[in-house]
Amino acid sequence: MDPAAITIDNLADPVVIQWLSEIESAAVFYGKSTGFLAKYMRDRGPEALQVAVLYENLVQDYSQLAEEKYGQKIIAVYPTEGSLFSDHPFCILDADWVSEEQKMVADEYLKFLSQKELILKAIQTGFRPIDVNLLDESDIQEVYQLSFNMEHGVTADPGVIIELHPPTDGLVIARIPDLWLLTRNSE
Amino acid sequence: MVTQEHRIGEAPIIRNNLLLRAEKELSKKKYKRILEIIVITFFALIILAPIINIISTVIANIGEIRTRLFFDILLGDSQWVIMREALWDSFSIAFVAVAIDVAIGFPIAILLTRNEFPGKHFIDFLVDLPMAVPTSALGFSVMMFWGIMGITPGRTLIIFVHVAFTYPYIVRNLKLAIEKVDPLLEKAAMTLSASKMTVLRTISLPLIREGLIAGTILAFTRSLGETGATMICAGLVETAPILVVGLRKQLQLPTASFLSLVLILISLTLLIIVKLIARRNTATSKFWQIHFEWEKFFSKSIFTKGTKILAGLLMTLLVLIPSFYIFSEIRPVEIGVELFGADNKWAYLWSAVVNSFQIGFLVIFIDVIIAIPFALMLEREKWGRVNGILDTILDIPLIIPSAALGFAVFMFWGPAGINLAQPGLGMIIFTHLTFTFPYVVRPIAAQIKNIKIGHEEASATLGAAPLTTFRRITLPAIKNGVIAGMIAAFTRSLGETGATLIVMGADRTVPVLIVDWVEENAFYAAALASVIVILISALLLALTRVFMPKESQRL
Repeated sequence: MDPAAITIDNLADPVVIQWLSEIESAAVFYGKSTGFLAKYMRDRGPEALQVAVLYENLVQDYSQLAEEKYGQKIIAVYPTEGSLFSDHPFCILDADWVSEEQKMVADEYLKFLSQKELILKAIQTGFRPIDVNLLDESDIQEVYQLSFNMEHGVTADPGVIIELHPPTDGLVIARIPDLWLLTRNSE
Repeated sequence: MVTQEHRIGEAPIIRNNLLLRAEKELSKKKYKRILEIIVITFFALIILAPIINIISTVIANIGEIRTRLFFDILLGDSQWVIMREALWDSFSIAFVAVAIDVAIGFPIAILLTRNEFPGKHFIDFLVDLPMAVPTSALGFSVMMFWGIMGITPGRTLIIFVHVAFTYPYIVRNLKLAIEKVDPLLEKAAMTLSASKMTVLRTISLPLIREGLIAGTILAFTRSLGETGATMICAGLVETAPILVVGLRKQLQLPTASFLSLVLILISLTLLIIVKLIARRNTATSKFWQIHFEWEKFFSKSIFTKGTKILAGLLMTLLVLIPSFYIFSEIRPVEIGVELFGADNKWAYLWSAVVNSFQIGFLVIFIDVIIAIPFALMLEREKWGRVNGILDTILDIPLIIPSAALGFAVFMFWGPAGINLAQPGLGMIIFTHLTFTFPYVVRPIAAQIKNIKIGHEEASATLGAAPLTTFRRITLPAIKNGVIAGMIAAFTRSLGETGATLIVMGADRTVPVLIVDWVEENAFYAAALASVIVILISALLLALTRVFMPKESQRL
């Protein structure tokens, strides 16, 4: 479905609510952050938690530690329906409530983030470069291969990851968490 | 030489004369009126305005609130059902927690007032301590303790943590009430062959009823409004204050205003009940039958001593050990790894400690400047009913759930209101001023009541201006009240979580940081932060007990 065409009526569709309820019914417990879930997997092993929605960098952080403790890595699975990209794209809003000074600072920040030194550091820390052309540079490719590999529980092939585009209507996005109110367990 | 000495000696005299003249000028009625206007305006803006604003926000947005709660396109009436369940959870948890408090608090209050034993003052101090400790630190400690017993976050754990921090309110109020009962009355009844249980029912209970009810309602409202510890121990349960925090985060401001108003109205109703009970004559009960056989039986030493021992054990198990269990979770190596890791938690902890102290000091500074003239007005001015009204309004922030109060402040001072403050340290200060002000006024007012008016009159008859009399006589006499109020307010500011969560920006205070760290599973760092604030609170409580006038120890 075209993300731009998604409306609140789609969210209210009983089929969608039923689908979310089925996912919810498989939840062992609710964690308060992805960091919590990753640590829980590492500390308690597969007996306690088998599947969680995590950031890729968390998989890299805890994959080998989990293997040392439980003999099994934490492995990233990339859904064929798509994966949500976090903190991307970097936006500088062209709104009347954003001052020129704020735009200038945001622009400087973007330049700072785009420095090669920072890009290398981000890749080392487990943040995947969105711009695959960066991988054509040999030093970046080298660091990338060291960080993104099955040894760390994540794929080195960016082609495997399909970007899931969220709805474009802000009102729809704002109401998505409300679906959880209908399906969550409160006991 | 002589001339020079004279000049050196003249300087302080000239300064003193200038000061006396300035005091005489400033003692004039017009300046007194200006001061009164400033104080009343501060009081109205800080305490009343946010609450009135919440009422008007709800009225102005009633259509949107109605749609959101009952006829939402996506949720139908689910939001209302969630709100109702949250209110029910808050009430039922408060009810059970306070019932446990009373059951184990009553024998301990008797023990601490009517018995002498080694270590009594230390136990008395330990009983009070959970009231001074930031609830998020307490909640984390309680969670860790019951966790080893296999109790995971949920209703049971919330009840346990609420018992721990509301228990002192019951014991403290009961102790003050029991101390006022003349033991001769009880002894007289016993000489007339009444058993201990009969004396308790017919003499002691009617006399301490006011203290018992006041303590119960205070503990109940404290439990009803608690946020920090509850967030840590709640798991999937959402109490009403947690829901207010959640709605604020989702920017559902009208719905959050509605829930805050409900909580404020419930608390005000309970406050009015306390005030009405305080005015009632309690010694009017009639007893159709004085001596019951079963009372005689249960008055045997084995039962009375057994009850005290059992209450002592339960207090140790439910209040004392869980509250301070966190000290056993201090692991230097693991703390080092967490604090000095990639995310540099040490810097956050340090910054949060500095923020908490900065906020606390600024708040008590402003509080004291306004609280001294306010307390004088409250005790000295003959404004008829106005004094009573001011006295009642003063207690409102003590009884309203801090999350609701924080939200009211956010809506009044913030972008949705008069837009004088943005979420962040400034707004935290406004919020903390609201609920710490009564803590400063009460001990000062109690001290003013005790001042021998003759000293001030003597000063006036010797020609001193009212302001000079205030500086030389009144201020030294109320010094302990001022210090006690400052410490109590600082302790309260240091420990506040719910309201701070509502009005904060990117900066953190220590209690909020503890909640954050528990949520991200950084237990060792959270344990260190908890121990730090527990130790600071213990020190502050010890100082409060030194300075606090006896008359203001209730609340």
